[in-house]
Amino acid sequence: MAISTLVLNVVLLAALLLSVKPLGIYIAKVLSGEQCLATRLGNGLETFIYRAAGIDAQREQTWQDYAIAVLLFSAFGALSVYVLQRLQLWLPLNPQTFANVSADSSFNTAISFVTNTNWQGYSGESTMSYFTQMLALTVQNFVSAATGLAVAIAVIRGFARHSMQTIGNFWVDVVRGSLYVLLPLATVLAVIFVANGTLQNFSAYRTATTVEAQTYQQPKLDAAGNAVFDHGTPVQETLTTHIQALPMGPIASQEAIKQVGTNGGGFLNANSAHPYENPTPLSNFVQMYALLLISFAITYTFGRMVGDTRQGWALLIAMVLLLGSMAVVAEWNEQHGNPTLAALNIEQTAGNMEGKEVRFGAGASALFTTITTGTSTGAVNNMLDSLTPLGGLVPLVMMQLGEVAPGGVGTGLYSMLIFAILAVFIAGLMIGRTPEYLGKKIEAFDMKMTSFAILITPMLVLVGTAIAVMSPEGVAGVANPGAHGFSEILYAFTSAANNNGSAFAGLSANTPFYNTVLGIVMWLGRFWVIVPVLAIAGSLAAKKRIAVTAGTMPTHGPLFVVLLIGVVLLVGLLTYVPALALGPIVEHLMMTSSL
Amino acid sequence: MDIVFLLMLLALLLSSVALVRLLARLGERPTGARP
Repeated sequence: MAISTLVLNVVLLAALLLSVKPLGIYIAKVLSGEQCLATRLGNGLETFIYRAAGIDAQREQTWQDYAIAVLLFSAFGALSVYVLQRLQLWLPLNPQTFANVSADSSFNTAISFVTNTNWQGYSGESTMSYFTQMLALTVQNFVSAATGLAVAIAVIRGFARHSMQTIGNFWVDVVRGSLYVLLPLATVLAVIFVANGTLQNFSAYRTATTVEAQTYQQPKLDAAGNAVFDHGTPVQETLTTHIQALPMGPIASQEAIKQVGTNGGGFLNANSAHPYENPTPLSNFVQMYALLLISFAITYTFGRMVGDTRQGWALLIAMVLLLGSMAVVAEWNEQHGNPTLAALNIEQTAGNMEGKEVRFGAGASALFTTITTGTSTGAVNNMLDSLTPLGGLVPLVMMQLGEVAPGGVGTGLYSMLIFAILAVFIAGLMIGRTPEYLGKKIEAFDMKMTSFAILITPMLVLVGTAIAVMSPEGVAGVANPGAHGFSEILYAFTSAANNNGSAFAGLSANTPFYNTVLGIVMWLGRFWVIVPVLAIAGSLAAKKRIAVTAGTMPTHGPLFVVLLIGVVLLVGLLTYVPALALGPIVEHLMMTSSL
Repeated sequence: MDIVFLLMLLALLLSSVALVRLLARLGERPTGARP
């Protein structure tokens, strides 16, 4: 591995670990309603929001009420994003006069942004007005992340409380999470991005005259503006131009919440590979730091709220070991380049640079890819379709492990806690004791909910992929037939069901089939996991706390960390290895056998 | 087409609310009890 990549890994990890405790304490304070500088400053606005929305901040909710509040809030968000896209031509801040977005794409994007997936079948700079980008998409970037944070805090309360029927108030949690955690962090980050050169304006797109002429093809139109067909095939015409359109817009403000809220949806189609979104190696470093920040810190919040910070550190160590080991695999493969190209005497000393930005290089691109799929972000600073087979296996596996290393804002913690419950259950079976975690007995209902939460995502991925590869509409979108085409479809469903949003590209997914099916998968992948997770929170909160005895398995030591990692790997690999064998593993064998 | 996608969104919401109700009923039943 290159020294520069090693240094980048170490510096990034050090910066994050230094932030864990202060931010973890801060999140615990503001979401518990404790007094601190931020809550004193924001108290007036917070109270105003409660009054305006008719929220009784003192009234706590059972898990059922909490879950229904999450669902209603998200459904209203999806409806508003859908309507804004369908009406954008007649709404303000549309200097490019973009048409209304199609119904199927609007449906897909509405669910995508509400579920924190941010899968984008469209190209932002040629589809969405500034009004849609800001009022529909950026707003959802905040509130979808705040929803994940709220659910995680509710689950923490489930562990921290005893003999109680309530787990908090969703409306209060989502307001506090947005107001005190996401908004300040996003503001600071937006300023850093602007200082690095990320755009932030409302100008109409500009044009530049290029030195070299660019030749491109487009469908030929008749005088009436209709496509010309020759025996049913659209006729293409070749054009040459010296003019290049330069997209403008309020990019930095969306970029900030896109990363710190682990959303990932780019203002521009090229996402964080585009110099207007991610201009420098420094901005790239800040983006990686931002998208891991809250997911790292919330483990400390967990430890603090359950009264034993060692419990939080144990979860974080498991997350870091999983993330770090997978990052090394991706970096190793990308920095060693593509042996097939090397055999053709194509320079590979800089690594596999196809689809990568020179200003980042192979190492930082591989690290970004691992982080963005280990969280639920899905932002990309390089084209994942051009990764080496094993380099491309890493983002797939990171998502298929359930995005627990360290996962998205809130979602990472509650997903890891589900695996922790499974781990103590397996340990309990091995030693013949009733499993317990943090002083709570894990009983039949908790295990049913755990199994449901763990199994729903793989079911969506595998059944969805099977439907797509068997249907003409699904196969029609594949640009690379064979094993790589299968990988592209598997990746799309893995990304949607795990609410990641990154894409292998190469798959034409902006079709009624993919927009509809992936939209449904994204919704179920988000809320059919949140509901059983909240059910566990409610069940745990109602239990009595049992005393620690000599027979209690410690859940803060290395043994538990190893057990937890083992359970995550075992569940993920047993579920997905057959599918991976048909895609990236076959691709790797084909690549090496062609040498 | 709008009505199709809006109904689909409504169906997703209602199915998720039904899941809440179903899991709540499952939680109310004592362990081992028959339905």
